[in-house]
Amino acid sequence: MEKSAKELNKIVCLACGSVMNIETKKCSHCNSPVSIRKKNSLEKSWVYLITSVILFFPANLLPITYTSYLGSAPTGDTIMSNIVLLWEHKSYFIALVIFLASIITPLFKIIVLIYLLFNQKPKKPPIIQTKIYHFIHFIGRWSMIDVFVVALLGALINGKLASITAGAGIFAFTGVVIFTMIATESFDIRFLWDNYRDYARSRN
Amino acid sequence: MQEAEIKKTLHWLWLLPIFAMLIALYLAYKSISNLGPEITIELASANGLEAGRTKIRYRSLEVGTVKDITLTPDFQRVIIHAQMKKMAEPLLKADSEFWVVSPQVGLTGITGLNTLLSGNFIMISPGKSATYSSKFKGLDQSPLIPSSVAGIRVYLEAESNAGLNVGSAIYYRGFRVGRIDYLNWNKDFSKIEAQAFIFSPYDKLINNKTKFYNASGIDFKLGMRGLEVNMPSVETVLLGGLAIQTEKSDEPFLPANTVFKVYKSQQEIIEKPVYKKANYAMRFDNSIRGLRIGSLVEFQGIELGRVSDIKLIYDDNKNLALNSVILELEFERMKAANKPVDENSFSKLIKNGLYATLETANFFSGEKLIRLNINPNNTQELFYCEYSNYPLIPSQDSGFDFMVNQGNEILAKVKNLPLDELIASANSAVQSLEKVAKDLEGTGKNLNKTLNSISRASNSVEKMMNNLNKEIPSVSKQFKHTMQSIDSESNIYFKFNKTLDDLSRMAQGISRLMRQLDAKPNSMIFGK
Repeated sequence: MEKSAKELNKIVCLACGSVMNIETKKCSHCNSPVSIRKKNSLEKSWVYLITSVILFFPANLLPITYTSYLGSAPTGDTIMSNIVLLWEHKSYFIALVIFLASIITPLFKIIVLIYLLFNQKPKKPPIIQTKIYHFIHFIGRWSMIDVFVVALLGALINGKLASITAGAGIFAFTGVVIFTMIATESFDIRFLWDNYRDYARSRN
Repeated sequence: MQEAEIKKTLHWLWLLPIFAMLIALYLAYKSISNLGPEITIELASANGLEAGRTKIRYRSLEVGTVKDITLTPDFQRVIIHAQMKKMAEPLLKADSEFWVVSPQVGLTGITGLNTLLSGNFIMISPGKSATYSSKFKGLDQSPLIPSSVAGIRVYLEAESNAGLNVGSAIYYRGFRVGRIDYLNWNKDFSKIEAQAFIFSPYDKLINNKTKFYNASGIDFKLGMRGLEVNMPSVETVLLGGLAIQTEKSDEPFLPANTVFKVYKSQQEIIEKPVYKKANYAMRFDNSIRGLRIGSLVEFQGIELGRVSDIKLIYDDNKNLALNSVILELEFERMKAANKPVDENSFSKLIKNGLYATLETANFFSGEKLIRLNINPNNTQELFYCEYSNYPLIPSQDSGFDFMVNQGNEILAKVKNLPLDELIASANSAVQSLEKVAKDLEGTGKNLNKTLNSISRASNSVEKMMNNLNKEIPSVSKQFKHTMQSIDSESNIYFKFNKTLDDLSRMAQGISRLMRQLDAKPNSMIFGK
């Protein structure tokens, strides 16, 4: 079983990737603070995860856009009703994209994080977990597309013919995206490897 | 596992989820407390309405959302279940009105176009009742006058629908003060019932002296003065409209169920005193084409009554068919100089030569009227018409036929003039005058002069005779021609009469002169 970098008394700077001795407090290349494992990873991850789960409800129940045509009174739409409208207007692709990016992705992230947070002690090498962790780490930011779309629409479409304004739901949704991103960022996948190593070694 | 160097636990970080939870709970609470009552609206169709999407609006403000659409148990109508907002609760009165707003194109305008893009919505017009209700029957179309508008409702009754259309306006002195919003037959289809709404502050105009009349329609009058056209606004011509005539009344309070009669025109309203009527009969042997029930009866140019009945009667005994016309005369229209006028006065007039003629009232329509005249020379007995038992007013031919007859009579008279003899007598008179002149030639210049003027006179008389001979046929032709193109106005008619009388008198005078000359040729010089 290979030794982890921690056992080799090496520390990696998460900002620039350079490896140095374990006692250094600041990275020798980029000067950012280094620590062997992310500080308070579990606690922080839980906090942010719970926050985003709480915020997930208003994000989907409150309207994220108010649209008005020809000066008529604005009608509010939630994420789901927007998707349904797009689908009904035969914009199948866009409807699917938004569904994927705004509903599937946050849910996926949350579920994955919950799973990872609960299964800290794998019996097998956590290869798949690492892979999905990196996956959600990578796609996390893409849920912000929806927020940008609403922001751009609200800013551009602002006339008598049609006008769009953002609703309270978009703030809750932004909170969901940001907090899942922070939760993912705070989570240290290496703990799984540490635990696995401990388990594997204790088995032998 | 965490490092031995345990950082301080971030218990303070847990404020964040707690904070988020509080916000979420607050929002949930707010939206739940914002929920008002659930109501049902019964409509004929759910045209354009979507469950979960369609809004209910009041003054363009969203006050509710349609949650679900179901059918009534008998599948005849739809029931809209809607969730109202809390703030809308005071709007839900027992007489609140709901209707679907969708694009409408009508004669009064185009409305609801914005619903083409935003989808139909339901509009509410709150009622004034005090009771709250949650079950409503929606209207099939938007009410013309929302219940929020101030004013009063008037009930109208009309014989025909002239000027009455749902949506037509009601004018007072050309100013729009109200609208008709309901039009229907009454139960036995004898009258048309209408309801109109008079907007405040014009509702003060309505009192028990108010009269409604039909203001629509273009009035054409072609008369001796020329063409008179009266046209109200184009909207009134197209849509109809009523107008109000009113005056101050001592009785300001109007009972709520007052029904106003709609008059056909402003003329009808002009207060006509009611006169007593009596019936008289007339008989015509010729065509009375153009005479109708309701045709005018005139005396000296004043309307005295109307034709009330026209019958074609076949008399078996006499074996002829004739027209029996009944006139209804308001004899009280005549004011008496010394005593009140009654039916007997008329009978007296008939005895004193009252007769009736059939005249053309209107060139273009060929309408006829009956004109009463008096010819004091024609006193007669009062007869009663055997077919109708009313006093009989004798009729005479008049107008065209009469002119032709008169013309013919003149022709006959002129023909009967002994013209040849007159000419022969004139000739012989002249000859004898010449003889006398010759005899008297020696007597002096005066005699000469006199004789010359006499011969001139006799020449012109001869010329005149010749002209007369030539002219009479053309004169009579001209008479006919003139008579054809002249209205039988009284004064021309009388003038003609006079002219004809003059002509006949002149012919008589000439024949007398000739006779005199014949009897005593020298009467021109020596006198009778």
